[in-house]
Amino acid sequence: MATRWYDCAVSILKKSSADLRQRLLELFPATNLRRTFVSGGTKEKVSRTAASSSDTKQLGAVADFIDKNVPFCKQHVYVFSHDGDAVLPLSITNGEMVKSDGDHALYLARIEYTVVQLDPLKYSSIDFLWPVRIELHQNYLLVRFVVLEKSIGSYFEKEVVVRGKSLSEETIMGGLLVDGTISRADLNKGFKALWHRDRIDATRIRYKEPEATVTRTMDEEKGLKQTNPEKYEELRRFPLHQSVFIPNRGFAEVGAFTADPTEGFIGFTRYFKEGATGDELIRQILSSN
Amino acid sequence: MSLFDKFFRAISSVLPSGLGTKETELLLKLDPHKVYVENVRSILGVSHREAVRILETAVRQGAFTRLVEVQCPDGTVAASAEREEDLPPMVHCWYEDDEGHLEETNINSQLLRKSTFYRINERQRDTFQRTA
Repeated sequence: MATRWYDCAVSILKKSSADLRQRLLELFPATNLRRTFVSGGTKEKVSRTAASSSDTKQLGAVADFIDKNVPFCKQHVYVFSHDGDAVLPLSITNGEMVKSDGDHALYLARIEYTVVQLDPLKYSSIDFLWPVRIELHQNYLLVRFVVLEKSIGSYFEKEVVVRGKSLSEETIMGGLLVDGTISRADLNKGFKALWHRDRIDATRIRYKEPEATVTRTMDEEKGLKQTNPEKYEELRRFPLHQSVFIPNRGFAEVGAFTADPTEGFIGFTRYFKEGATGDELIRQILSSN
Repeated sequence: MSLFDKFFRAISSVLPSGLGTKETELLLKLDPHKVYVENVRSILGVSHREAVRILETAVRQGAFTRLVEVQCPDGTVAASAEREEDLPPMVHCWYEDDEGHLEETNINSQLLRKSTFYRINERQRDTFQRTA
């Protein structure tokens, strides 16, 4: 299906400053930035160069890059179930659709962090454009949030303390859930199928027993199933919550990742090895679910 | 003399009354790869200091090796080594951020809590397993 552009696509990028666009691009792996925009230089330099022009064609290239490269980023993925009635929203809370390609759409939301600069005391703020990609599958709707920079202080010359932010993942998802066509997917079956087949193991697992929530964290990040198969057999009967998994065969490039299977959440907290994404892992979890 | 015998001789040296059947059974159930002072103390009903003496005697007799482990702020064991100076300078830890998401970070080992544990001497492990 041909890419369909919306007027707002260039609008939100055009309305944003070059600094804001640069901060947006800096969320992406340096290798991917160099491959698309400039072959050499630091991530900061490549991002600054790519973000400097507000020419419509260049802004289109930036939007296209973001759309294609969200899967390569550190990201939080929320999986929702739907019964076939779900559609891609035209906008999200505090954000606009940037691009739509039939089965998925890219959105950019404005988020403001308020900070206090220390010595001397001074209140300040910094804006980001936050990429959110929503993908429509046959039975599922995936919402991917690119993980924003944790070290907000790196954008200031002096030490700062973050006081708050104007938007959260929960707020955006609340807006998506409001029409009642989607609900959080329970991914326990999919995760347990991959675990059973030794495609993944857990180094930290939280599960719900009838009268307690139990967290088991393995010493020295050893795999639970490999280290203690009896315990694995016991706990696989329970709903799984916020946990850390390590990939085994076939997913080595993904690295450790977090998940709350009961809440339909998968988190990739580090950049993948070059050229890799977590998409195949997600696909196998969903197809086994 | 097997490692098991050495370990029990170490215990006997500080427990003149010897071991009861129940204590023996409980000691045998310990994971020989990781024995904490508190494991031994609670089984024998002795003081912490006496439990340390038992385990250190077992180390001197070659039954056990003393190791140190470094713990992340949430108590997770990140790494272990026979000597503190052999621990990795930086260790990998997870923490929950303000929104409840697990995030990872690397922390200087020197800043983290360490604790001692004991492990059956791997070089003589087979002997131990056969005897036990």
